[in-house]
Amino acid sequence: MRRPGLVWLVLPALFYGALLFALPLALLLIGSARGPQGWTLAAYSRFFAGSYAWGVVARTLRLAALTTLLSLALGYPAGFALARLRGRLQSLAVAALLLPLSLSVIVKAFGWTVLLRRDGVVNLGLQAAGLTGAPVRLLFTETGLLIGIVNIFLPFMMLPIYASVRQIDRLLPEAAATLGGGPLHCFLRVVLPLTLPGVGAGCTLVFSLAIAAYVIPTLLMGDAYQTLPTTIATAFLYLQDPQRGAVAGTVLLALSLLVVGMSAHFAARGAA
Amino acid sequence: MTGRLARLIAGAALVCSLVYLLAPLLVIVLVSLSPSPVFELPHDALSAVWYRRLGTLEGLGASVVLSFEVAAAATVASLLLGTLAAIAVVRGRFAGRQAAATFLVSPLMLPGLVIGIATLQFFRSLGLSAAVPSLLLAHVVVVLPFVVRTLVAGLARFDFALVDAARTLGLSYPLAVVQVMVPVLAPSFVTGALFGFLASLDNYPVSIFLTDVYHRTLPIQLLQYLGESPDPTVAALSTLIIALTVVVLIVGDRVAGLNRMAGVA
Amino acid sequence: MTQAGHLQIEGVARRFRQVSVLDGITLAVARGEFVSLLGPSGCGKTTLLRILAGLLAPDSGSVRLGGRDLGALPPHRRNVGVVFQSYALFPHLTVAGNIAFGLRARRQTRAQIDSRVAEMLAMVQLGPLADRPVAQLSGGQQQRVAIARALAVSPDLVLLDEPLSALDRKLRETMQVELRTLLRRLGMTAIFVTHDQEEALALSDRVAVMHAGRIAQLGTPQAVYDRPATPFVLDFVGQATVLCGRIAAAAGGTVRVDTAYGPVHAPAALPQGEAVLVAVRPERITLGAPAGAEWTGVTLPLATRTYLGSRCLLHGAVAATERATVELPAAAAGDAAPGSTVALSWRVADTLLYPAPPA
Ligand SMILES: Nc1ncnc2c1ncn2[C@@H]1O[C@H](COP(=O)(O)OP(=O)(O)O)[C@@H](O)[C@H]1O
Ligand SMILES: [Mg+2]
Repeated sequence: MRRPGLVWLVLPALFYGALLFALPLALLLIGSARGPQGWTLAAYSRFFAGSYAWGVVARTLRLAALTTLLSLALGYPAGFALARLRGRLQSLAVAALLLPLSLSVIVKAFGWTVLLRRDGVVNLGLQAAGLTGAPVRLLFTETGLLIGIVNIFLPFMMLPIYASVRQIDRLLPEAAATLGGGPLHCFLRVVLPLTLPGVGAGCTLVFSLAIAAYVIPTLLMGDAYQTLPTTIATAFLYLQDPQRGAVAGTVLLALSLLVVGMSAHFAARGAA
Repeated sequence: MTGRLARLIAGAALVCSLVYLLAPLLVIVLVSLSPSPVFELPHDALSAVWYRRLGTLEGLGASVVLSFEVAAAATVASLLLGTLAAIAVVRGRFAGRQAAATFLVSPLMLPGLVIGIATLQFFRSLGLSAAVPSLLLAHVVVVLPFVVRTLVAGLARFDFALVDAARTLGLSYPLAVVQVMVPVLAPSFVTGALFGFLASLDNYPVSIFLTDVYHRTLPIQLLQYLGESPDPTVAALSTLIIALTVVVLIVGDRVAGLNRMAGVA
Repeated sequence: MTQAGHLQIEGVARRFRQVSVLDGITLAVARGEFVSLLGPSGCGKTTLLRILAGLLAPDSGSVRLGGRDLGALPPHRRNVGVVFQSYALFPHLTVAGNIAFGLRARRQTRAQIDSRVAEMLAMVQLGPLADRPVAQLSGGQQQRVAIARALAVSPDLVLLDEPLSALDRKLRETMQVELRTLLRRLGMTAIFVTHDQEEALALSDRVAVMHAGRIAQLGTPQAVYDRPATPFVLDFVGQATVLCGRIAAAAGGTVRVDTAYGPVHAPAALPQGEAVLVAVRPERITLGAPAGAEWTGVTLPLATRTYLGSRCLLHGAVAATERATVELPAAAAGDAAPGSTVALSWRVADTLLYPAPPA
């Protein structure tokens, strides 16, 4: 069957995407690099003058990296165990994963502001377990922020790992045993390499989502903790300084394109 | 020995993860049912007092209506655009099909706030400042990737021999499409639409720049409540949002299955 | 030579982007006949079936079924049943729903549909599974649903596209017998596509061997096996010993061919000096020198000996363009060992002769 005509069907969506997604982003980039006298990087040098903006970028990256690492440390074994579950138990666990994943970030962040209060459940638990005598301050601390942000992004780490382990289970049910080596050897030589694509996908997803997180840092840390997303929002919503916001936005966009691009590159190399 | 220990650790990690993931939801539900006005877990009695107070939240009704209207309209528009695009991408033989699909899904991978400010500036430069049309136009960009992603996956899995089979069994081509392709692809439509609808309903990074004092979507309104001095009425509202999400997932599970929805099957 | 058949295919040709896939297929099939289309993957078998079903238009040629020209008829008006290679069962329907599909499309009454579905279910022994979703069935069961679905509408012709290829060996053999018995009982005219030569030989009334978009040979299984029309058919259907040679003498309907392993006699009329291929089926060969004028043979070194239980395979050490394969009852293989030189003989009448392919 010859179907050159089908190309027309994609055009409405492409046109829409070009007009309401690509064009605005392009204009944002252009706007960030234009002054009254034409092309200029003045806004960038103004933004990066002094250590403040560098601190914001570093804080954003640090938060995303920590989030990714912690999610991986918890999500890898958990995703593994999830794939090994069977039947109803697995369905239940997947449901328990999908519910927070599909739920509004704002609602979850609100939950954490309640949980992390001085008289919140976490503190009550710590005290009941005898881990601490007096209530610990968690809200407006980086520990509290990490507890909250990893909570938001953990499902995005677990799902791809879960998917890759499921694949292995289907591909080589007994191959591991026939290799002779012990379980550790088998894990390092067979299982780990085969789950790496899932790990890669999960890390990319979590990192690129975490550098763009806005609600969680705002609600759990307040205005003093500035990351690129909060800087963007502040510039537009309170400072009425769109060019500053556009510069921060461009930097954030560049970072996330870099992450996605690098991950696509490694995924392609891994597949080749 | 090592294997058993590893399995034990993995199992513990899973249990901890699930408890951890569900903890904020659970605490919200409990707080909303507590008679205490200071975010306490209920001690002896449950109370619906905060649910009765929902009416006193200023602007809630309007924001709920606005959010549902925007989400519904954006979902319908995305289904139209996305269905055509997915058919072209999966069945077409033209160059750049893959690139087109990647482009249409890419808003999912980019920071929402950046899309938000870009859209805001674009609309400003066009002189478009009315909140409702801005939200409608921008939310299609939010919903479309979900629809395209699930429909492309569903169509790619679809065995077109089914349509051939229906034709040899006595149905004309259009009837074969209606009686076979539509029901078989229904799960993809439903999942794409449900997740897209939820994404629009929950969206704040784009909406936050497009709403104004008179037109706030539900998430923006919720952020507003949390910024002011929140009381457990907000917990009651959040519990209703959780309930809505549960309903959406149950519907999705009935139609498509949980693993398909999670994108792993 | 084509006699007027129930199904009459005349000069059907089809290209895909300038590449000719079918190049003038002509075939007549009698009512109730079971014909196999046998050929390697990619030779155009599925393409021909799709043309017969009306799912694909031929570039030229015609198809008539029961005297009616199918040319202008869309698939849903042809009354041709198809069993697809992937089965193509409707995943949103139950077993019964799948079987009823064609009957519903024909707007039969509820009662008619129910009784026909029950009849078909009984026929393929799936009665207890009627209300199962098809996804829960095993491969063999899905296969039976696909057959029942195609036959439920009492088609004038049923087309089966490698219907057994997805099944494991044991099940495939059972299903072969089942399918053949069923179609014969119904007197169904069937075209059965396969790339498995044993399957084609075992099931068919006639076999059409396809090669390069044409039918290389059409005949009974025995004719195709015993007297392959071309070296391709010889190769594709079964095994053979094939040696290169040149015609040294021709007299009275037999020729003498000189090969590197001795002279071979063959029944043929070809001019002296012509380069030829001499072939013989492995099981026609015995060990030992020719025992009389009706026999002929060669002498060559053995390369390998493979024990297969009841039989034994010997392979000769011959040139790269040649093959020497002997199949003997295990008891008759004697002590012929790799490295030794053995004499092989067979009846002159069993010698096959083909013009050598241009080098
Ligand atoms: N729709 C099509 N477009 C282009 N080429 C096709 C199409 N269908 C089949 N072909 C080509 O025609 C040849 C024969 O295919 P097919 O009939 O499926 O072979 P078989 O069933 O014998 O394995 C193959 O080389 C295949 O690539
Ligand atoms: Mg085929």
